[in-house]
Amino acid sequence: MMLNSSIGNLEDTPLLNSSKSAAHKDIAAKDIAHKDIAPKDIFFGAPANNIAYVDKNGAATYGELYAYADAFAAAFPPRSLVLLLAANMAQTLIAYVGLMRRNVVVLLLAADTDQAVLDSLIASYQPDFLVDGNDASIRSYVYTNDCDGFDRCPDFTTDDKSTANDKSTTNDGVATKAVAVTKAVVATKAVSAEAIKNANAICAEKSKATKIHPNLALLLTTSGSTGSRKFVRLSMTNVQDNASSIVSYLNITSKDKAITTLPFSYSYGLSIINSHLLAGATILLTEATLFDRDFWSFFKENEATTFGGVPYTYAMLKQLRFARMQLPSLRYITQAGGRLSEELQLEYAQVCAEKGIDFIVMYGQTEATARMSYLPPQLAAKKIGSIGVAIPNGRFEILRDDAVSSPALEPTTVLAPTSASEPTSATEPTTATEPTFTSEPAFASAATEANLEAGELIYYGANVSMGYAQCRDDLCEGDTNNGRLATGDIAVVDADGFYRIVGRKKRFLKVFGNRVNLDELESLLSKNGFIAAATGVDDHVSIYLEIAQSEESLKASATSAPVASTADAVRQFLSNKTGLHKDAFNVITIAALPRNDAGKIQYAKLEDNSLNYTLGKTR
Amino acid sequence: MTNLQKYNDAFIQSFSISEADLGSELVYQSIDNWDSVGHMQLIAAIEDAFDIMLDTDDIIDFSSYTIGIDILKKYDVEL
Repeated sequence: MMLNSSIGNLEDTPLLNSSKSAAHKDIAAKDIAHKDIAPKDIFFGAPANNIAYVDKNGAATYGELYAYADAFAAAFPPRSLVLLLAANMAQTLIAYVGLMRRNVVVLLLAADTDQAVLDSLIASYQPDFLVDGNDASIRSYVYTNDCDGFDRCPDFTTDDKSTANDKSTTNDGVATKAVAVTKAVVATKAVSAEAIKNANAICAEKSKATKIHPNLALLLTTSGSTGSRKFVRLSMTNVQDNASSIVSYLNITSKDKAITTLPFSYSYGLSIINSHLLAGATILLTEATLFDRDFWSFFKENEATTFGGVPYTYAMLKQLRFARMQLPSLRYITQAGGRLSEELQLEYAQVCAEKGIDFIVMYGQTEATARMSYLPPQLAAKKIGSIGVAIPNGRFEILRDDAVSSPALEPTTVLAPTSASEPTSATEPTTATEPTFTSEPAFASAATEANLEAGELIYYGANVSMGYAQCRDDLCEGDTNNGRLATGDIAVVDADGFYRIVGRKKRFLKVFGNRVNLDELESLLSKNGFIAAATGVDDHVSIYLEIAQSEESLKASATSAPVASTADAVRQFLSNKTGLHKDAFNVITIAALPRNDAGKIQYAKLEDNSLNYTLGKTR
Repeated sequence: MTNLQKYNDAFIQSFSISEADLGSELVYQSIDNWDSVGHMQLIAAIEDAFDIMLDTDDIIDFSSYTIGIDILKKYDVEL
């Protein structure tokens, strides 16, 4: 499949394991070698006797996983669209693997998605089925197209009581699990003939109107829980290629055991699942958080070798005194989902080196299935702030964008004539011609500091998604990216070939690993009567709220509140709407937003404290 | 400010709740704001208020308003 092996066999080189090896010299990007991965199929190729997953009920082998998965998925017509509500539970994994094996198109959403968001997505995408992977019996629902939504297939449910009884009559966790899952599967099969008949009719009806593109396999959201309708369209090749690269650069083996710390439906969380499925490794499934005792006892009992975390995960781990924890089974940990502060990166690099744990900083986007780059662990402390090098099979290019102040020049067309027009570019331009970043306060200083060498980071690889979708009709589209992704991030590359992100072209922030589009926040507030400007840095959204109008709208909602409570109410409102903790939002009330003659908000002026706009501030 | 006031304030500030919400009913994940992010805020607020460093086990065990009072005794904080 891939790649340069300038150093040769990976087992012989200290490169991917160097935190355990004392001596190393300076390494340039071109010296990094990767292990070649045999082209196995991610959803079919694992040895039957390897343990596929463990959850609180016990373990299952890949043979068992595939059997449960196929029995479950038999009820679904290939190429139908299933909305899978995902949690870090065996039910979700079984459903996901089954649907992928059956060539069903899966739209993945978090099981705790707000009902209103769910309703609007169902309306936009008209899935044929809804599968609740958060449910002990993997309940399925068939979309009844003619009326108002999903009807639960009455016979799909298992008898929860009898499952509970089975659990009480055996102490063998493995057997219990098998019984519980088999029951669900049997129940599913009982109605499958009926369900298939109905569903086939409905699917046939729909496919007349919209033929789902034959390469489409998976739809992932870019925004976590913030409710955007925009999904990334991924092919099986995308999923397979990215998983292969990840297995290669992390040297994942069948002995690895990854414990879940991120949502199943989140592209980074899913990439951990996919890469470990490909490696025939074990996935330790738990919904417990880092602050649950259950998490750590499950971790230790099953000797987890790895987990992933967003910057906030690492902040939590620090508070939990990670440095003092005894976790001898841990082999490597990864970080992505936003930029880790340099202090934390250095701290983890040092602590992990002492403990013999590889700490790998990575960079990615859902638009590239998940991952685009990684920093080899032996460089974690040396290349602080760097996202490393492109993953195996991928490559970067920096588009030194002289057009920042002269949009007439179209670098996208010049450098990549094969790049087709982006269907959603009207709502969120992804082309390199958007000349706005110089005026944005959050990124302006970084972009200046990065001098003339900075430019938009462009990624090329087989993991680049097919494009976006906003509704069912878009699912018939083919590949509109052609392996090229304009990341929207501004980067520089150092003399050794390592990349560093110094700014962002698009107006979004990463908050607790979720992408939050600032323009969408502003429009959400405006729809609810608040005139506001959204800005800030990762994990900290600043909302500048114009108080004159906004107090009117609060009165309208029967709250007569002083300024401070207005701000607090807005924080709570945003927290409710986005599903993010209110701590992410800092609301600053001001008399009037600074605007230019055209009425455009002048973000740079907002950040200027000397203007003394601030009337009140809460956080 | 008494220790109890400081303790209560940490909860009130971290979760945007009122004094009336405090009590034995208040446990981890019983309210929206006491999720893992909120837990971090709470622990930071309590460590600041009493100038202590909680152990890993105590941070994890700090799963209710009532249990927290007991845990703080170990750090010579009497409420």
